[in-house]
Amino acid sequence: MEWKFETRMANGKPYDRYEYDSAIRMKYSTSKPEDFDLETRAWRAYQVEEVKKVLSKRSYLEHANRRAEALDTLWTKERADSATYGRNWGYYVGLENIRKYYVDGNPFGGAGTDVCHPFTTYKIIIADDNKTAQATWYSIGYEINPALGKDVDCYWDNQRCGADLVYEDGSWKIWHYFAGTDFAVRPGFPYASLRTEETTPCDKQLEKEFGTPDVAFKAYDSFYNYYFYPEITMEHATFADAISNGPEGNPNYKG
Amino acid sequence: MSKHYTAEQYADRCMIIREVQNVVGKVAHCDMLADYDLSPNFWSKAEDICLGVNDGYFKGREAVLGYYAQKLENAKKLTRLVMEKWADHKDVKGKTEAEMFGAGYVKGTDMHTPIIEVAEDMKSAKALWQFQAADTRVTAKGPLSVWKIGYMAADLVEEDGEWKIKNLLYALDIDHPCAEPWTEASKYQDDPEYAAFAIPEPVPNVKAEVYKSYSVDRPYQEPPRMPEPYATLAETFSYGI
Amino acid sequence: MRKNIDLETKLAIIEGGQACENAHAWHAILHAAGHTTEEIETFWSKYRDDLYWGYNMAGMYGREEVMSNWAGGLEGGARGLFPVFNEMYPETKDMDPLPLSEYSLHAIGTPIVEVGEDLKTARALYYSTGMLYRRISSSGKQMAVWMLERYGEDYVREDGFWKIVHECVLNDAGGAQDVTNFAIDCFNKWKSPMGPMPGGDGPKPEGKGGPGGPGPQGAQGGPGGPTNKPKKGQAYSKMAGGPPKGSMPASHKTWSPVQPAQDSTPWPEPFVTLDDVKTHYVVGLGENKGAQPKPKP
Repeated sequence: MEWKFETRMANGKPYDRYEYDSAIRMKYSTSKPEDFDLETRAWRAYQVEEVKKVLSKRSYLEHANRRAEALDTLWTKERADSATYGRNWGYYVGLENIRKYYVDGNPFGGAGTDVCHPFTTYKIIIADDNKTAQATWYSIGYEINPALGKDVDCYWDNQRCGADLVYEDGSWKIWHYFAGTDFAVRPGFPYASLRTEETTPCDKQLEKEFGTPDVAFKAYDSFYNYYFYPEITMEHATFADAISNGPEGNPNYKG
Repeated sequence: MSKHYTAEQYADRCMIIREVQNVVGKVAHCDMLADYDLSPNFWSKAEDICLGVNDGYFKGREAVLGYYAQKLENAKKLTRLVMEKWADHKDVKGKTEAEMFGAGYVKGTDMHTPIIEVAEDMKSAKALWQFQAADTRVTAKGPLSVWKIGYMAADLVEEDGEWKIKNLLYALDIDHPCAEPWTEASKYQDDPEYAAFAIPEPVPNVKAEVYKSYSVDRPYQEPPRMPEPYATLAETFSYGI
Repeated sequence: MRKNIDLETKLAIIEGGQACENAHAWHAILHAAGHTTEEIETFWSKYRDDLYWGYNMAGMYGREEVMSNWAGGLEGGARGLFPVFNEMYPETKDMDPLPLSEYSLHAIGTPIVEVGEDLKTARALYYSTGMLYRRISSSGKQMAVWMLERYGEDYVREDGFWKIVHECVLNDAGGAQDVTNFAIDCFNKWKSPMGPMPGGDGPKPEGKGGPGGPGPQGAQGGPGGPTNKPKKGQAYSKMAGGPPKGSMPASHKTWSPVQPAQDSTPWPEPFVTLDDVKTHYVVGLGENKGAQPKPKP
């Protein structure tokens, strides 16, 4: 890729202003709050807080080891068949398959276990048509499970996440959820001792724990540092597969 | 299904949510700067206020104010100890205790994962956050950063047009030195050179096992209850006792 | 909380607060992607020239200084690394060069947000437990550091959108993930500032770090650093590529045992309009003197 730049002046000295291809791939709208009537504006503002609450409750119920309740109360029912739960290695598709992985295969809950994936640095956008919402966020979380053995019994799990929500029966429900782990590292483990091609024992443990998803492919990869998915959420007119936090929006998805 | 409100009600509820976030955020900022003389400004004037920690509650106005008074005295004591230990250092020499206030300590409490419910009568609100902080200070073990990760929960009430804390709860889930696995005992031991830095935390006037921080033999426990939609503060559960 | 205001004003306040949180999150993700010029051109003020980006060691003030020193410095560093990556990983030749060189995950919380009575300006304070990492790198080895920071931000509303105008990033502590106890690391550096860097098996120091706080192994943030071009096998941070110093003063110090409390980014108080605020987040202007102790009798 060729670098293009123009030379500009700052404080009497020249500097290079580089050209770029936008990192924002979403075809976004230019809607502003004032484009909506007052009633709708008030509703939309409140819904931003409601979406925050839904995604925070997801984290809370996971930490509380109430995963079935999370699926039953926070996830879509009307779009159960197309609900997706994605991680670095692919996606579980459909609420029943998600349940088999997420609830039936839950490794946490015993003495000495702990799991926390917080909801921080959120961008929340309600689509202009008010039918869906999208959020992307950071999550520096942790998981502890002494039964797994010394090298992988506890670790930080540094994630970049995204979700699509649908407005269903008067409340927001999770439709597509994605959590991409940049790397997982045991406290005290010298991450900087690794060569680029290596992953940590905890990364391998996370892959093993995720099992074989329904749609398996490299859905998130930190090898080249920043990864262009989940999409950077921007104002948008309506939901489209191209901006989905399900597999269809993933640049590596071959469909 | 979420309740439907008028546009005014939606707006008022959003305004309260922002205020709740701001008020409790300011308490966290006071904690970072050891500004414990300012912290009581964010509390209700009521007598039955309550502050909970893992091993009990500071129940009642006197106990809560006593908690902050002791935290402030602790910060001043730490400043004095730091000034004595490094008395010859260029950044200490010639300085007064007032100028050196807060030395030896910093802690930014990063609050996130908000669950905030405003009462139907809009006179109170309940909030729960997860938080992450690295408490960095000179301790009896020497300089040490300790992960303090857990939940902050609060009941707030409107008082004279301002939102004030009625109950506040800190539930510590992880309380362990940084860069050590949580599943192993800490390698950091008390250091005789730093013995004077053993400054006890305030002791709750109601002892109780409110929350247990992580240990390998800890049974799985419910986090503090999350706020649920409610009508009035009197009709729902409390983060105090 | 403001009372007796009409619905439209309330909505402007609410939407402003939410938009400021989004604007910060957009800043965070485009910073992670290495697209700093795009970030400034998309999410920062277009019409004000008093842009400010500051961190512990210095501040850059004015659109051109922010563009040349901050954006130009980071992107120049990425440009220097690109041929090295092309040599080491030929598949990178067709990739966007900007995200390749480094990744940051500056997670934020504790938002304290105030929208001005003018409904055109806003201010916010956040805390951050974040990190910075490199997987592909010129050295062929990985690197990650924790960064514990505060962010003070001022915003303006332009053409219906909320944009950043000032950002002050303060680093309180940090160090190699996950082998550094921050206090011990800071203490050792404070005792022997020119001594060997602690941190176990991590990479050797790479000159100075750069914008956003401490560099690898907790090296102090700041412009400057190696001026040689990066080479294969040599550890190199794009942030060390050498933006010249900013024209504004230092704002904050990382923790040391004798560092008094410093309120370099006080929480925003209710205000009328940004230009009337005396202690805004531009350190060195108005009454903001940066890392001043808070004397307490």
